[in-house]
Amino acid sequence: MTLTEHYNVIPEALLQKIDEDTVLLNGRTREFFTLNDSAAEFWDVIQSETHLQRVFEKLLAQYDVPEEMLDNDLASFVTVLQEKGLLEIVET
Amino acid sequence: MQLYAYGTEIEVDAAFPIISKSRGIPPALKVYESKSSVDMTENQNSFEFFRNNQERDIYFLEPQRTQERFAVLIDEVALFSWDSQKQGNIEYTRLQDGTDTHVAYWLMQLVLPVYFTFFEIYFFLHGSAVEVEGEHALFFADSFGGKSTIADYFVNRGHPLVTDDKLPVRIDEEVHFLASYPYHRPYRGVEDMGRHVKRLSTLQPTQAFGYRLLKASADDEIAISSVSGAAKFQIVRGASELNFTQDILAHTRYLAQVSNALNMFEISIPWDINRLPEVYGCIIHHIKEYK
Repeated sequence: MTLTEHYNVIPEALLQKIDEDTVLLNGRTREFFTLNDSAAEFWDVIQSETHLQRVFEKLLAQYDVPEEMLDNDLASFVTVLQEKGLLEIVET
Repeated sequence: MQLYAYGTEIEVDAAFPIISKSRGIPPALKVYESKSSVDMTENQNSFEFFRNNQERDIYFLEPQRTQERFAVLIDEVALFSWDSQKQGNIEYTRLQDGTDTHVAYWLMQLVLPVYFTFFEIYFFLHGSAVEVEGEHALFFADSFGGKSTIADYFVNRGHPLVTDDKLPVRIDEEVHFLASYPYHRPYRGVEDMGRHVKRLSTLQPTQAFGYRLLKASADDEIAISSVSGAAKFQIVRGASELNFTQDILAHTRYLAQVSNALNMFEISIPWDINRLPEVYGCIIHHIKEYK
């Protein structure tokens, strides 16, 4: 993953609260996974953008963390989202 | 005749073998036979094959194709249709195998749920349910997992039936669980209404008890454990025959809302019919304790 990449979130992705869990659901596959608070906040920003650089900038303004750490965390999360079929990197 | 099913007063024009008490208010839905005949050799090609529903092939005709009517064709039984812009009337044309029993069976079992789903009046869950201690107890399981057998056992002991197979759920600010109609079919493959049930639940609770039935060995203990959070979403299932709207996002959201409204549990069921009384006792005791 590089920050220059564009992406699309699938329209069937849905964040829901079920009891105490925050759950990200893939309506296409019915698969889901539970998000912690930080991941849910990452998802909110990812869903509102289409370019990873913008996501990174927004999260950096939101969190008081070293850039390298945020870059790694974001990359890991985006990889998981890709694996779950919730996010697709767009060829530019 | 007028009957009450799926929380709705329905007027039907035939002497269908349906016995359910009308509440004596004007019908919200009329079901009547069309006077005109249908040439199926000409029409069938324009229908989209939907699925083989064990007994019959089923076809849907989407309103996009005609701009006016949504139709459900039950092969050789009847063609049901309604104005896609206006609720209130279902028209049907009998085909060569369209006896009163067949038409009534398909109307109640499939066509009405399709109608209510089409107009987004209800979302339907797949499962059986009965009334226990003034609450709805819903049973979820894989195919041949015991849903009907458990419901049958409760019904035979006087518990009001909520549903045999498809549970109507109305979702507004809250989730409301309703009853379907007063028949129970603890068997498959026969196109009849099944056994008439004297008591149909009249409750419309906004919370219910959900039990996922897990098969256990005949001599295992009966164990009930609580399920919460995301795991509940894995258990609830929409009625697959009604997945024609293609609105996956709405479907997923409904399932999540229903998950939140259910007190969910898993119960291990010893696979021995002689132990059903124990299972029955455990569930009643569990609901009493939990309340």
